[in-house]
Amino acid sequence: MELEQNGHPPHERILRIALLASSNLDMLPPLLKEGLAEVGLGAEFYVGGFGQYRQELLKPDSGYYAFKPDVTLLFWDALDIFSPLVEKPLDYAAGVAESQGTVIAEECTDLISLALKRVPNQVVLINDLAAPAVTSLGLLEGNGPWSVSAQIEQFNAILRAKVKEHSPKAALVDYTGLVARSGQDQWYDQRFWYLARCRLGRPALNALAHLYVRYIKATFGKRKKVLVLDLDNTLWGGIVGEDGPEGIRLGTEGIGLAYRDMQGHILNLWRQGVLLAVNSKNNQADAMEVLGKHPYMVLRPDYFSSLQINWRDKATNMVAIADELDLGLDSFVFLDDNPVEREFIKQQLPQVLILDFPDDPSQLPAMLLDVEAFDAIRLTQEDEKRGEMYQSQSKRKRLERSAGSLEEFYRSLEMHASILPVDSFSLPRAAQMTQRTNQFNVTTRRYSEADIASFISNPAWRVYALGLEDRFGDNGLVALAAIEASGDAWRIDTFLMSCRVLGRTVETAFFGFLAREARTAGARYLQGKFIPTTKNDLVKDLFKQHGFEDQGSDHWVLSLKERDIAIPDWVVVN
Amino acid sequence: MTNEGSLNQQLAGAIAQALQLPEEQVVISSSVETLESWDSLAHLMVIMEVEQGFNVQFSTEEIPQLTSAKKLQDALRSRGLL
Repeated sequence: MELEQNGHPPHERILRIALLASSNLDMLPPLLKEGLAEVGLGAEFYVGGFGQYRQELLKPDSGYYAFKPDVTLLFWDALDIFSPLVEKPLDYAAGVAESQGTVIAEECTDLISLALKRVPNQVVLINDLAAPAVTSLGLLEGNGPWSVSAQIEQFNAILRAKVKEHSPKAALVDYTGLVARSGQDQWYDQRFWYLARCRLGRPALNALAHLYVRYIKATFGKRKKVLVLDLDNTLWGGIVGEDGPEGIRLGTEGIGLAYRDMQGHILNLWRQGVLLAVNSKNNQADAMEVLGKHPYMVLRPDYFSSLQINWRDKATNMVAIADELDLGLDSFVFLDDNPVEREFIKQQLPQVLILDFPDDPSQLPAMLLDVEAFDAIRLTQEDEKRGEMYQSQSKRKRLERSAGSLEEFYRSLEMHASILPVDSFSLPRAAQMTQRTNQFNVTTRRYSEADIASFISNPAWRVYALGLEDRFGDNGLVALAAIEASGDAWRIDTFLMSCRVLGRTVETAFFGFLAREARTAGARYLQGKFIPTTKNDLVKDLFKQHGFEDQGSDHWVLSLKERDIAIPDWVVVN
Repeated sequence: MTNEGSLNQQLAGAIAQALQLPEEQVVISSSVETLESWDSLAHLMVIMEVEQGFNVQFSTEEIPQLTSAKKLQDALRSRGLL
């Protein structure tokens, strides 16, 4: 029944859905219809009279059978089908009460078998029962001669076994989990029960419709195939290029454990046939050291079908992953902590599904469990093996083209750079940046607050800090330049930038600003020096890219008379 | 602010959504008598939609009484929600 396999685009399919319920759920179909439309499925409904599911299923000429459903939603609530037991538990003799779970379950599962016998080409979705949190037994529940909850557990056990027998024609809907999540006091709305025999309030109806849509989509819709992951501050806390493999947060304590737990959930997805890929701006050696050797890393390199770890933009990398796996981008899901990267992919590759990222990493594991894009209600053998298959077939194609228009993206960021001389307020952050920045740092000179204080009191020196705001908020101070004027030249002693704002032309705006200031001050040359380290490969061509001329031995010069560095017009500098 | 004779737009939208009608078909004089689709089932949809949209809960006794756009608007007004 997979639409993907028989070749019909999902939106062309109109599903015939029958709803048979133990109490009034007539309000559900409009909500279902809306939810299904969002996942590209159309629907027509048949709603049986509430509480009449037995008659509908037993009578061969009922409206239900005439409708010939593709999907049957068989909804029951414990308060309905166990109502005598729940409401008048003490009217039962112990022996009779203790058999209720089995008796009712057998009656119900016979109905399921009958429905499937008479309409074999359909899927029946049946929910388990949420045991009422409060019954007339009060504290006797569990302490008296017998228990309501025990009977409902018995019912659920029998139902589960029967549904499994009918799989894939039948599937169990986790109603217990849904109700537990909301809490029964919120779930049931007594007003609608007394007015219209509808047990659920509006929030509950919304949640139930959403859950049914997930099951229907898992049966008839298209499942995503690939989870693409960022690394720094996504799979672990911190930035490996800055903090080093020992400094990142990943472990068995504190927030490091949240990242590890989340990786465990991702591994579970991989075991369900979801392919994993990395799309990260990083030095490959740094990242691979963590992936391969970090003692608390759960996701090892072998779990990934594609690893794009480099300094290219993420849309280009995303296309490279799609090429490598030979899969469409519409089967991709992307997880990245950086809102700018998420927005970039959203604009450049709108087919990719982008996950929201929680503000607090402690929410990451729970968030991963709530990802619905990979919903499956059964696993095929192929699913189980798929992760490994793609891994070995990975083709490692070279990427030639970049995706989308970068300029459009830059503009959409609405970047405002404020560049000011460092003062006593910005001094601590300025010193911290020189201490911490390893990658985008041309000289990697480390300075204390006292060092920088002495520069700014020296008339030959100028130290500028750049703060960046964009439409996602204020990034704070993200770049620093220290200049020493000597004769007709401005010597760039330090030029560094946080990797947070990499790939957005902020450095070019900063250079443009420096060129302008230098010219205003009467200088004729900007001089730069590149001091290579194991971490700053990223900026080895930085001066060249900005029109500086090579003077040999990593010295660079820009003649301000002959050349200018234009500030990109999508960065407003003030 | 809405004056006495006109229907608040958000309320009109909620009623229209529940009855699956175009918004302009819902006016201050709309009621279970004037709109065919506003039957007893749809009435619950209307109540739920309005409660959700205005973050309000009507009492069990008043729900069956709120059978027109005007009555719903008055009920919301009396709670200071319009």
